[in-house]
Amino acid sequence: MNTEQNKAVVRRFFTAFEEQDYGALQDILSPELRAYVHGDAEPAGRDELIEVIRGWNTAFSNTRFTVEDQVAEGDLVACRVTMTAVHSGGEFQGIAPAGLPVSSQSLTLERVVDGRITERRVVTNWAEVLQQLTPAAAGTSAAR
Amino acid sequence: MTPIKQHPPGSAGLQGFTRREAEVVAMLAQGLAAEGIAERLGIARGSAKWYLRQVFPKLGVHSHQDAVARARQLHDPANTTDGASNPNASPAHLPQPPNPLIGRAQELAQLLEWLGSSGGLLTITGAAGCGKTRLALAVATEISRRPGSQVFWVDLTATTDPALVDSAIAAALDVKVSSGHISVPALAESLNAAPTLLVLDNCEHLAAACTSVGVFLLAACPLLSVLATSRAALGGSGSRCLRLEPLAVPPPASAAAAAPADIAGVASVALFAERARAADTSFGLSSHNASAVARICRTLDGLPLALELAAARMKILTADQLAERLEDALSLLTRNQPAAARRHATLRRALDWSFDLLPPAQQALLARLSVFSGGWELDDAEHVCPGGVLSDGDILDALSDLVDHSLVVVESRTDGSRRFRLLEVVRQYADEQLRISGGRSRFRARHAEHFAAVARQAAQELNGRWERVWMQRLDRNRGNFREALAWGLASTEGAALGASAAGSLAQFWQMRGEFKEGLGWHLRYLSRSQDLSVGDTAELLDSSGFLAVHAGQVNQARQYWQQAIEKFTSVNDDAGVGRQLNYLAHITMEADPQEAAALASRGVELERAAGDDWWVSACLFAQGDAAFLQPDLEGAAKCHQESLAIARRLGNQFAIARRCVRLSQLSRIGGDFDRSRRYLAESWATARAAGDDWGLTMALAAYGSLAAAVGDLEASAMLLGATQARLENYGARLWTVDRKEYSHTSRMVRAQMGNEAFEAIASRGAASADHPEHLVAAVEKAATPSSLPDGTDDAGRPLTRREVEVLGHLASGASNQDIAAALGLSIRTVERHIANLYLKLGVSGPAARTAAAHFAFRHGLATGLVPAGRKPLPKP
Repeated sequence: MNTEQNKAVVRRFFTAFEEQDYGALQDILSPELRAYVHGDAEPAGRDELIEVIRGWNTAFSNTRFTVEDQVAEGDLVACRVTMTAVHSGGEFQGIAPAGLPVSSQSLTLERVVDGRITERRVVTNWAEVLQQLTPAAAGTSAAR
Repeated sequence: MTPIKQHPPGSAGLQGFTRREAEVVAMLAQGLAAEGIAERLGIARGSAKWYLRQVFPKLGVHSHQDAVARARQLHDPANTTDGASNPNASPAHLPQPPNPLIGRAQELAQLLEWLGSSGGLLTITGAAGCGKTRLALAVATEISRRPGSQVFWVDLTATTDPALVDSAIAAALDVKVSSGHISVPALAESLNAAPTLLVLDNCEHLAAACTSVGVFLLAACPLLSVLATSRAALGGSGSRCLRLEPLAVPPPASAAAAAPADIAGVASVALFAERARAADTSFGLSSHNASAVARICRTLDGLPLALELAAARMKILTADQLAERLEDALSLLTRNQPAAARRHATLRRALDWSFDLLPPAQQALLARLSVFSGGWELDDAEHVCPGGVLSDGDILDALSDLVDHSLVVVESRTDGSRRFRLLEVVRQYADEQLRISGGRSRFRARHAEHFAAVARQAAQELNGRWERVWMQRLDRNRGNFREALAWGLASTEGAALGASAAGSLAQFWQMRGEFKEGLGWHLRYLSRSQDLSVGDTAELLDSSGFLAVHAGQVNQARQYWQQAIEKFTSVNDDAGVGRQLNYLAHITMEADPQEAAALASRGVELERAAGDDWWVSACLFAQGDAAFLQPDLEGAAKCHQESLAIARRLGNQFAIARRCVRLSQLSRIGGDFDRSRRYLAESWATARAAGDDWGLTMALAAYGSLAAAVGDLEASAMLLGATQARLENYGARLWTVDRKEYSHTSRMVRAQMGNEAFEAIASRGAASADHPEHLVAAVEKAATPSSLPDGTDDAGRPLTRREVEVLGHLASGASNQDIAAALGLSIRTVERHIANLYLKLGVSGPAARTAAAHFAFRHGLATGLVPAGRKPLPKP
């Protein structure tokens, strides 16, 4: 596998996430996956990560990833990703859905071995995302 | 986004038409011919015919019969209810209110009061389906009826990139871009002309960008107010926010046993009743149904969109049945949530309920329609949506059903087309359904293929007489193109398709001044060149250079084209290489005409070998211009003559018009004014017939120089003024040859007339910039040049190339010795040339040298054509 193919694997991961294509996610993610996401100390395994994605897709709809930049070296692929979604489906971290749009910025680093992602590290601006989910917080600043 | 513009009073109601032209269109719609129009407008028959000639290309028609049909389409009573003859009476450029505004009088008054008192940044916030857009539209309509004020409507649903908010606004304002970039200050300039309301609809996903653009514009424009709609409030100090609540609902007690009189005045009931009547004309609020209606309104929380979806079912269901079913469907909702969450849940249940009632084909269509961004036309849906339960022939019926059920919104546009759209909240819902059904990938791919094909066709038609029609179609589908381009980047198999779509759209972006967007997509696709063929990458570099050069990034453009040459060379695409050489010649011409000539002549060779006549003609044009600038006038004439011959053979009207301008200039410089005039007349007529605005501008500039050459300084100043005004209107610069000639002529005319007189006359010319026919007619009819003497055999004979060179140096103040040194001639030879010159120009005596210099300036022969001390640019 060359770096271009590895980059394509990571793009396919984002597409499968968007499409809620869990079969494709099974293929793209290695059974040995170690996913370090959102500051959790312990890495998540493949099934755990897929559950997290399912959970996300329950709470959010219209999820869309835009890979703004993508570089690769050896078996590593790094991306700058913008995600947009609508909080419409279910509670998220104790916040009831109110149909508000959210967007996030992430830096991701994936290790791709034999066409599958074996390691994943993600940094996201979560504090800002959570802020976008509360209409009251968003509304107060603009009162005259 | 929708570029809908409310023109200020005094301008046209139809986009792109002057007021008088709009009147003519209105009369065409009534079936009148030139005679009738002349009579009605109180103008000469010839004038009426002249207006018809202006209007036909704008309508995209050739015959009177077609024009009448098209004009009727434009004046479809369904579009412009306020009558065709007074286009200013109706705010025809705002989206049309789909139905009357109900129950929002207080909010409307509040917003109008805020606008009247202090303006600033106002936001309407509220849950999806509350009717924010509808209320904003009511405000906009009200403001647009006030004399002297203007309203611009910007729908941001199809804009996903915060960096493109200013582009979306610029598109709605139809801002002409001069520097090659849309800038917020440029927007501010055009917003400050009159009291203006700028509506930014659907801002929630772009809150920060909208706030910052809004705050900046407000600071720069004292006459501006901004009204935004958003699910969440925008920030910014000094902004005011109207929280739009759902409509009032009847109290619970009355739901048990409501009398019509008790509840008829409640806003949600009034809305439901109005929408129910649209579904079933016999519907009326009565003692039989009042309780049920009250229950429906309460169950739906008074949410306008939910009420509308429910009311659409009154065609079949009774109010009791509807109330019961809705209560069942929404029964599981917890009532102790925060208000925003509860409304959201109510709307979703109402959408679920409405969706579940649809037959499978309609469900499938609704889900698939979510792949469109910013709306679609029937033809688009028929290309993208069929498959499975939905066959090609079903689309129209299924779409009609969705319209009937208030799930799809219909827009009738001023150009006669019908366009469909999903409210954003419905689109989001439909997108969820499409993902669940697993078809999103397939339909996004189909959508991308369809719009890539539209872009490809547009690229072929944008330079022709259908330009206006195509530009409008492209404008309407910006959101769809963005979707197609984004899909191409995200999917592995879509890179080539997306790259070709980006290339096809390059000219559209250039014409709209949207370089940030255009170059952005090009760069993203260039970074995917691993997934593209070498040829595709080369094409992408070609159009990247095109955008860069128009954005004023000449060095960047040079690099793109040089890289394109490498790519085309590696796949032995000589024709591709030749094209790049043509572009490179154009950008090299000003600094180094010799190098440019070399580039262009290599381009000619390659294109000849490849047998591509059109590009042979283009490269010859570049070579001719480079020769013109050296100056090698004979060489220039040869190139342009051959280039013209090819253009005639190919029937390319734009090319014919432009090449005729060159041959006219060359004839004039050679002293053959009759020929010069004949070429220009052909150019003018050709460009007029083909709708070639740029060709007309080139010809106009050349007429300015011809007028000066025959001694009509006043006509020259007018023509130059008109040319300048047109250029400012486009935000464009003349091409190198035309620009040099223009500045020589204007310097000369200015010097002879005096600055003030020149400015005064030029500004009169500028006023005729859009209709300069009478200026041109004056030059065409002008008598024998007054400045040229006759009587001697030699006078008026064309100058030789060497004489032109000598004259150029003489005019720039060089001594005979200087001239000899510069041209590598002996002083005696120079003296002989000068003597011949004097003879041919008919000048003599002590003032002969000055008179000859005047002649040189007048004819653009002063050596300033080639800048002294030029530095050749690096060779490609």
